Amino acid sequence: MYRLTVTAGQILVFVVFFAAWELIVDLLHIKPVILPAPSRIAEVAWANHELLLRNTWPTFVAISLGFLWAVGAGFLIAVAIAYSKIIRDLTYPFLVTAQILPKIAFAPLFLIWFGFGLMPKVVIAALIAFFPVVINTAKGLTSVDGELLQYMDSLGASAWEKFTKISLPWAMPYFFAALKISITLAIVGAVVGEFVAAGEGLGYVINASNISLDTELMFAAIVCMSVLGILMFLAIVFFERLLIPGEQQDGGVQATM
Amino acid sequence: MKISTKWVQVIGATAVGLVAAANAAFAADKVSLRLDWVYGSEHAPIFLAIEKGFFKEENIDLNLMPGEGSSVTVKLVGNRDTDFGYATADQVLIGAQRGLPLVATAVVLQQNPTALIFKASAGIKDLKTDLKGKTIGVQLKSNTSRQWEAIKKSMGLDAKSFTEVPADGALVPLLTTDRIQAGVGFYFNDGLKLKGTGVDAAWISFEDLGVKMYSTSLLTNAELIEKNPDLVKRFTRAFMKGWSYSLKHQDEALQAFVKANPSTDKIYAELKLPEVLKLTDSADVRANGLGHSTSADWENLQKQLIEMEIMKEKTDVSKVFSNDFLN
Repeated sequence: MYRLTVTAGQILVFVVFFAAWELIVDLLHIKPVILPAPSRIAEVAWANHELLLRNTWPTFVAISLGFLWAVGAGFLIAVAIAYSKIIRDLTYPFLVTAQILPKIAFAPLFLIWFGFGLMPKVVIAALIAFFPVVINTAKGLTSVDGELLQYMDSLGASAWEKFTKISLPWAMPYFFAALKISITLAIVGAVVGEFVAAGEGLGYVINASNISLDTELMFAAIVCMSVLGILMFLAIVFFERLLIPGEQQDGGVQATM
Repeated sequence: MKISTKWVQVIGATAVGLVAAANAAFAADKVSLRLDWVYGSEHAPIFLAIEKGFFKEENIDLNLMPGEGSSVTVKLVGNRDTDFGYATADQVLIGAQRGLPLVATAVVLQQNPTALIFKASAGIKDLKTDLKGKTIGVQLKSNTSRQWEAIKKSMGLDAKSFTEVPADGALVPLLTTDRIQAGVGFYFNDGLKLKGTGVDAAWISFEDLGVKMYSTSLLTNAELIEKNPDLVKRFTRAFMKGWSYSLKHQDEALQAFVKANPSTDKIYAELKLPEVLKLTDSADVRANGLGHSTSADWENLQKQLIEMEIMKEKTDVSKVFSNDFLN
């Protein structure tokens, strides 16, 4: 019952937000070129659904590839950091510095470094999405209950068994918390990549709509991107539910970055 | 009771009179001007007008701000966030068609600065034959890419004989590193920046290829014209005085700009200013004065924008420009 009430409330928040937006635009006679009303955006989105869908695909590909790179590389480095004190001590300051670096500022240069098309988008997305995975997963792997590992030792478990049976499941909630941050960052990265280096994709549509002052189309593309982002986020939540037993899921574990 | 009312009226009238007098004597009109882009020597005549006190002479206290592209500038002026704007004519026209009450009071740059830019060593003379096998950088987020489409169509260029790549904001580094052999951009920006790096840069102007378009213009909001036409007149006069003075005294204009922007690339600034000033010229300007524009040329701009599918519907161009504020 509580769950149902909350869901209804959550929907209501959206409804109130869009209703207020619609009302303000209407009452203040704000021109669509400055701020279009939600109803107008929906209209334009529908009228251009073919264009939007066509451009959603390249953005999806860029986000996915960038995200997968980030997760793959981030996970391996996290394991190395967790199991080697020297690697941890040597690389940690560098990783934190690289995390803080505003990588988006380099976006225009990526066009020159990595050529045209998909590559620069994927690289930017991967670079931005990478660090939370490393730092969070390493944190998860190193926070394993020491007594549990000692117990496994007393049973004569191999290092591999300890890793797969204890550390990895222990780190999973941290890992998934990182994935949820990462996917949203990958979206930002891919879109920034499309701002500077693409002739297709939703980021390109957003930017190109500026030529003809088509603010409605810009908003429609942003809506598309949001829907895409929400779906990708939900896909991760789905896998999380599948892989982690109920009581361990998120909530309790805070993302470290 | 009667007396007191009268007294109130007298005091009130005196107060109003004093305030008005004080305003006229001390307080200049505070006016904001948003440019099309970050400060560059293409804005030198504006800096000169400030330094020479042309705005002060008109009792205007100017707040100058750099821009983030003409499309943003026209929205700010249309929304009355800024009193005046300096933005390209195409964006003024599109903004007006989209319902923004915009009026261009002076078309400063009369010619289209878009060009195909390349290293002279690329040997591009005839677009029909010399582009074969070359990679061309196109800025997809600017209307220059649509102009390029129009030229390809009008000249019947074989688009399969060359490769096009997105190169927004990166023409110069891509050209210097030979990642592209030619690029479509403003020659007074990308072309001269390339030249500034020591490369022998060359370009073919789109104006010469028949894409005649008004470029950067002074604009304001129709409501301000209605409310305070005198201010618009004074502002436009001061603004254009900066340009006419700069045409005769380029060095002074450059110095005014460098003085206000000491960290600027001086070589590039010096290359750019004379090229920008050349664009203020046209047959109409020679006959009717700097900044003048004609209904026929605005119509022509609109026709091209519609053909390029940048503009979706026509608008009444007579409302979008006015020569009434020019001397």
